[in-house]
Amino acid sequence: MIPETSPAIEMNGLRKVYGEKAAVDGLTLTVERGCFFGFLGPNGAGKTTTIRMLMGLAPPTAGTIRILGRPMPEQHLEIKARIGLVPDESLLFDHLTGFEFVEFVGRMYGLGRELSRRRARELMELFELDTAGSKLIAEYSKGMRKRVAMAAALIHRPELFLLDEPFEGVDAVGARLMKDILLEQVAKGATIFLTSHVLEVVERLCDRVAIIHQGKLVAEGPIEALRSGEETLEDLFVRIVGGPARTTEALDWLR
Amino acid sequence: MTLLDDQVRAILGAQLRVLHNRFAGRRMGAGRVFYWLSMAVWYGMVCFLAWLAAVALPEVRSKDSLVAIVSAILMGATGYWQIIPVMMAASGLSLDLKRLLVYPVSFRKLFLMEALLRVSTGTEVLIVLAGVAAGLARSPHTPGWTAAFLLLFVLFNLMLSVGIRDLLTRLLARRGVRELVVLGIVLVAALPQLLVVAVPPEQMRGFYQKYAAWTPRLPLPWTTMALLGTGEFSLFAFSGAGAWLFFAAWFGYSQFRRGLRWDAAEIRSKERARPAAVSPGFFERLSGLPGRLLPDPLGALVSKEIRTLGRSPRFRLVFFMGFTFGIIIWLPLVFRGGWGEDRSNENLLLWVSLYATLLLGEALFWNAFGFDRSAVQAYFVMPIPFRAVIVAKNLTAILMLMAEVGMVAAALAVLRIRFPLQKIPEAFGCALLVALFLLAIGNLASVQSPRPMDPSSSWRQASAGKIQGLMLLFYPLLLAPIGLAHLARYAFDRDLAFWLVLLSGYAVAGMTWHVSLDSTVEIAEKEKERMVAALSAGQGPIS
Repeated sequence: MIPETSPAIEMNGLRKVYGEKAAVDGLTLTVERGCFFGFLGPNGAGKTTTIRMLMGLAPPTAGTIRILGRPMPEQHLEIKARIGLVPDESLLFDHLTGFEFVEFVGRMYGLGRELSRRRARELMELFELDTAGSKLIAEYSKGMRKRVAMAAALIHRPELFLLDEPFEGVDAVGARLMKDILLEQVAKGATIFLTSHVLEVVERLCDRVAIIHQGKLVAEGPIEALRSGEETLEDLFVRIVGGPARTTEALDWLR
Repeated sequence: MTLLDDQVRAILGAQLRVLHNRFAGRRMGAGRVFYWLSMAVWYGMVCFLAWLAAVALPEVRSKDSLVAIVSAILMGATGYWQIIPVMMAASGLSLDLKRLLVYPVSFRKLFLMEALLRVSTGTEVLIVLAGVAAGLARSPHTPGWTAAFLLLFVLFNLMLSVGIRDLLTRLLARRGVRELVVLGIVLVAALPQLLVVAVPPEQMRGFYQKYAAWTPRLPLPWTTMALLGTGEFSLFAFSGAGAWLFFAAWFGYSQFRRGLRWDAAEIRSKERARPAAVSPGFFERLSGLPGRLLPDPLGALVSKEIRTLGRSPRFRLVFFMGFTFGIIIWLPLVFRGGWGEDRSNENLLLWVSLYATLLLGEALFWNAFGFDRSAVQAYFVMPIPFRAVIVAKNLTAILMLMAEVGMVAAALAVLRIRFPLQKIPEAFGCALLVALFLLAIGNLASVQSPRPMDPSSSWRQASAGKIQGLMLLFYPLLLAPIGLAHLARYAFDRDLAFWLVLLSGYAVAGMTWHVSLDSTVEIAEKEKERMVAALSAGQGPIS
């Protein structure tokens, strides 16, 4: 029996090496249940690799992972049944319609055909997606693909959401809807592990953030505790990961 | 786990819907008609083969011959079954079960589903096997029910193809190895045709008789399973078939498991991590040359095109195939009299060059914006005339084609296949003439029916169904001026006649290209929104 008080995510000394480069280097991090957690870092910092390891898509080179109190990958089926994922890369099947895909995902989570169909239809309506189901995912815009992925992540009411850039390409109305749904899920006890480059969104939604840089954890805690003075999250982020080494002052023709 | 629980049914259903949506449900007009016609012809041929097996096998006189024939059919079926799924996977037509790793589905169930999905990629083989089974059931040499042992053969192939597909998926992800492996597959597929054409019939009969005599003694999967299927129950047949089944199950499961754990990102990352050359290499210098010789924006566009094509595995493969596979399939012209000493054919260079020109069509002519799915937006935004973009693409295509013909000539020289030196300008001239016509039609096709192409996918068709239909119609017409030029030389017995006809062909081709260029630019300007939308669509369910 897994105690409900166990953290949602525990990473201990997590490391992933590609060739000679460590994409994630000794990451130790705990995310408590019911938390809206922002996982930040510049491009190539190791955010997506971390999410891939959490989902069992990339085996770690070293370190351990526990999700919802269970060890990964030993209990991967029990863990996956409780997770909703919106990946940055497409895990969608382009030659299915949005409705077909969401229904398919529901059945992967064991909801059965009828329930999956019903929920898929409701989610498609909620996200204002092609309810007629005539359009293939291949014909969707980037924002629509993200909305389909979000609909699929919700269909089984997961305890933990792993969201990799979920708002990328989504219009303001769609993004607002997604944020409202996520906040509602957190209020009901779900945990959200979010990566995003839109720091204003992170600042507004997240209770805690972690910042990784070159695979290493460089800051972690409540946003208020990490900030100094009137600093915004963007100021904090730039201060921690370092600002641009060169400015336009170096380029005479651009001044 | 029940055998077909809801997860399994959902995945099989998704596979069927992908195939339906991809091939039938979404096509309209000429493309749809072409699709259904080609399907009808193809499956008509397969059903004919099955009918032939059902009718001919009961007529086989001796049991030994029956075993040999069934064994040969099963061998062919294995070859077909193991190659086609690889092509299907690369063209994005079968679900990538690795994507299902994020869902709570066990490895064992994924393996079962992968094996079941292999059924959908071997339907032709199953139809032929049904014919073989009917033939065996009606044969006077077998008890009839023994045909059921062919199910073991189906099982063997399903599991073997799971393993081979996974092994190849990992191999194909590695730069360099990918081209070699695909070329190997193509060569293996071409081998039977080469043997049939190049080896004299009496020699082939000798090979077959030797094979037929040895068949019952060879511990091969198709032999042992043919023995069981024909009712030859022996320890050799049972133990052989059992061992092969065990091997296929072990190989399939172990490769599949490795495939699921395998991280493609790791390979890509390692390749990216390779240190860059300190000074630009030969190819870099070569691709930069047009930028120096031609005025911008043409020079910059041609340089960009050469770099893009040179870095596209798909183009590299087709280019490589032009002077390797192209030569192999035309070799029967050289060895028509058997594998003798006289390795010469005066028209081989021309045939291979023309064949290579047609082979390059998909990558260079018919869908010129396929690799440019994101760049095409930039062309409409940048302050450059769209005409310059088309001209640059055409110029690059011609440069690449000339390089290809040069490579064909060099490859023939390396193989010591003799051809007259004056055939070299002829080959360049004829290839260029066909290319001009191809460019004229291809430019229009590229803006009328653009579709995105994955530069890493080595197999997927690059152009729309109706364009493929048009190609079949146009190719013989495009080759007509060359035929006329040869006819003129034959009639007047002078090379001058050949070149004069070819030059008049150039005049027509040049005019056609020019008119087509104007129309292409006009259509592109009018239809830019549709073009960008079509090229922005996704590539495939998995690849």
